[in-house]
Amino acid sequence: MVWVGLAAAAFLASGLAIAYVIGGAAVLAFIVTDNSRYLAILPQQIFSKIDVFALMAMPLFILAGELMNRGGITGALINLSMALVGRVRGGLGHVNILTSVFFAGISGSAVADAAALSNTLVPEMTRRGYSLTYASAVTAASSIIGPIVPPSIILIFYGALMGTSVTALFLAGIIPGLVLAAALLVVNGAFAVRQNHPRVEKEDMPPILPTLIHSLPAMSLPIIILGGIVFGWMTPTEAAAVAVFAALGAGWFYAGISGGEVLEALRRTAILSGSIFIIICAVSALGHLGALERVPEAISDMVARLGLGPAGYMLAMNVIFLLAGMVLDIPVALALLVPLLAPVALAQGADPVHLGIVLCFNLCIGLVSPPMGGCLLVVSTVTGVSYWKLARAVLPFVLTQIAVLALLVKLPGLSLWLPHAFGLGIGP
Amino acid sequence: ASAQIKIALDSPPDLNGSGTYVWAHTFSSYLNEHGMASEEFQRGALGGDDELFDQVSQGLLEVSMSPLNIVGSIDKLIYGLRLPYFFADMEEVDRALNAGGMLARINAATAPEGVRVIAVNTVGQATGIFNTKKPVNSVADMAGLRMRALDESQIELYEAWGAAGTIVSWAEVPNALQTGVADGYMNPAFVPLLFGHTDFLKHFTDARVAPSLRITIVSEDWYQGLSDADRATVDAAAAAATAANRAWLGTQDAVLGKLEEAGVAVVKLDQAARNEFRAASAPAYESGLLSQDQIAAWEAAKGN
Amino acid sequence: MKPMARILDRLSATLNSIALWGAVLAVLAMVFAAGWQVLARYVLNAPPIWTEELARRAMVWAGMLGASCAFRAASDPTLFPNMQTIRGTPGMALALIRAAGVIAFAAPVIWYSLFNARMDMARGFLGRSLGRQAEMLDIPMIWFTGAVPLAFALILIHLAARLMMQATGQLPVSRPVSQPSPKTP
Ligand code: NA
Ligand code: NA
Repeated sequence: MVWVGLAAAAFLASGLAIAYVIGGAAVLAFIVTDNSRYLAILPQQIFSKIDVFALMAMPLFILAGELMNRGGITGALINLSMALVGRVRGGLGHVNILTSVFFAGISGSAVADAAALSNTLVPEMTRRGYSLTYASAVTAASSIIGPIVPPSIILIFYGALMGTSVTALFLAGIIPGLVLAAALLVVNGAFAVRQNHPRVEKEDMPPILPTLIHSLPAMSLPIIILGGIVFGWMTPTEAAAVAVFAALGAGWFYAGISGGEVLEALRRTAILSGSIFIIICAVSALGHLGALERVPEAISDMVARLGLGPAGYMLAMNVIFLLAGMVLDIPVALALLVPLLAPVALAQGADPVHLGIVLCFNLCIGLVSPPMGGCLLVVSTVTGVSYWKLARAVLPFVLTQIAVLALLVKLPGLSLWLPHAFGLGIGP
Repeated sequence: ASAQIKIALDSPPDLNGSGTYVWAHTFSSYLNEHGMASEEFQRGALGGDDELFDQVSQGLLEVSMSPLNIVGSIDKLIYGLRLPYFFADMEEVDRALNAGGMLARINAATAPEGVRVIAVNTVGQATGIFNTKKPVNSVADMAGLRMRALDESQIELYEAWGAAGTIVSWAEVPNALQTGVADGYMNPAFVPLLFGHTDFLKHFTDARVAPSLRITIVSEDWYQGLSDADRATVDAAAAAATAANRAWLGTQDAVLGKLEEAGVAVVKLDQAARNEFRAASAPAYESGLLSQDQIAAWEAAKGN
Repeated sequence: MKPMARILDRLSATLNSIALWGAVLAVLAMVFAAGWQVLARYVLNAPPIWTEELARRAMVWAGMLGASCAFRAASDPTLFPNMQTIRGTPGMALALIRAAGVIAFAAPVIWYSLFNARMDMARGFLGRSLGRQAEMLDIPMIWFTGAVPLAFALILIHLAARLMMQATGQLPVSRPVSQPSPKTP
């Protein structure tokens, strides 16, 4: 096994994509553990892990997000936020956070949010006297509301891995997402006072009524998506397909989105989904080896021997996922760690829906933490603030997010109240 | 490790609640006591139904607890076990399978694929009709209900009863029942208790439509490669396991009482209503899932 | 060598654009199948039974073809992407290490799609799925399972083309990546 570890390290250091590092090392591990005959079923293993009902919503929500970014919907959401909170001190910071909440109701991706608002709101903020660093930091920090408020690609992936109802997970994400937004608004307010941030001047405010009317097509998207799922008119997959049509319609309304742009969105969707699928392929090989060698049982034995108890184990899991989110791509972290660690938590009485929200939150914090914070990378690329400077500026927000996470862990009701109110996620 | 006989479970290891675990555990204990080392793998550990089937067919997994339709994808003969109002009880099922030779006929089709059906297990009492809306005392009461269906043949059965069917994946069933995408489903009585659906399923009709069955498949390569003595041990273990599974079914009579305790009103059909359901189910025999020859073979195998 | 590398690279590029079109069509099939399901349930009051399976199988095609395109575009998440921009002998050494990882993963997938452990083609993954029917759509499973080995075969072709281009010094000197590639969702 030492040789496999060395080979994996060499693959990783050579710049090989993580999926192939895992897949290649897994195959070598089958060979050295004298399990190579089990490689004969590798193709079926791979097929079964991707031919999964709950995964379907993922490419569709990616596509909806791609269309939305190309269709001028972001601009309508910014104007609406401006009309609502622009006049407060630190107004544009609040606008940034609130826009991310609206954006989150349509898009399942934090990176999409970070890219969209870095392009549009950050230049606006710097023009009105915010420092470029602060504007970038708010944008990065609030982008992670995206995958916590439904729809969420991370929660779809978790649901597919654990066989947990995606509908229940989506409902469970709403309140935590709003709590997070509120906490970020408070921090932004504090900075606004301390650093004397401007408010939006009266003459610069968009007129309220026309703005509201103009934003209706954009705002109808989260209502269709969430309402459709919550009231059971559609499954999450169907809602994702409807979201695609709705994003296309709204894009046509706002910007007359072109056929070329639609094709580009489809291409991007195929390639992004492909990157996620190859990770699932790779991890499915590793997962089978783990089962043959009874690794999950070894982990639960180890937990039992350490005497962690449910609370201690939950804390350990949080630390592991927080660290994983900092260095690993989210699908990699989910596919590697969830099948390994989550069953033990469930056996100790954790709720699968609550666990999903907590793990998602952990990984999202990783998106705005160094060294591999995906949203930090996107924002710094677009705005030109250096990566490490941005990482430092985001730190107060990250600490706030960790505090919100602690609250969510401590109070499962914040996640579970809504799904339970709709009769979901109860029972074994 | 290759000497170990691996058994993939399909349910939690619960000797009171799970009939298939009773089978699997009796089987593995018997083997271990008679000098053949075996180990149980938790549900899902080695993969889903398709993966387990594939591993068995490749000789990489010896024993798997599986659903009927996993061999139905090779040969549809096994769906005779799902025909509505066809078998009176498990005794009749066993007679058709063993004395009637149907298990041998099923295996004739699956053996070339490397798979042998070694046992048919009951998971609970015969299926009944659950719904959220109204008591179902007769076929006429099915009108207006939209039932969750597993496949096309189940939709056809619901339509034959005057209801509608809609396919919903199991993970989304609670939401579908809550929101009216579906009004009910057909399952053995214990299912809503196990999955916590009794909060919204308010009515159960003990319609006894068909036995609730799963199967045990073993690797044909492994089975044929055993010494005669070892194969006899495996056969004896399977016989003991099947006997334990049938004995377990006798302990499940309390489940209707538990349903009522959980707030589900239970309707027991009188003979006239049962005959009505049976008559209304006739189209299921012409759905094309099974040929008329296959149905005739099952009928003959019952030996009535 | 140089012209051969260029021919291989052109083959890789052509196959890639076909695969990308295939993936785009598969995504469209998903959108329409899932959209039709909603429409049929509420407008026609008759949810069709094949849409869910069709959408799911289309997803498999979209995802697997997309994976091959992501490989060709070198857009899969990577911890040290700058290593891919190194040229010359050290760059070639790194490229060979990367190739070893890709081949270790892809080779058994392709091999066991064609053969079983006893080299019997009829009992390989594809052969087995030829004998099994899909759930609702009345066609053999091979129409869907074929996506897996095909994608890995495409990946190996892209890999061979890139290696040849690098070995013959024809790989463009790309700008060093200023940071790791953005995380996926
Ligand atoms: Na979202
Ligand atoms: Na934002």
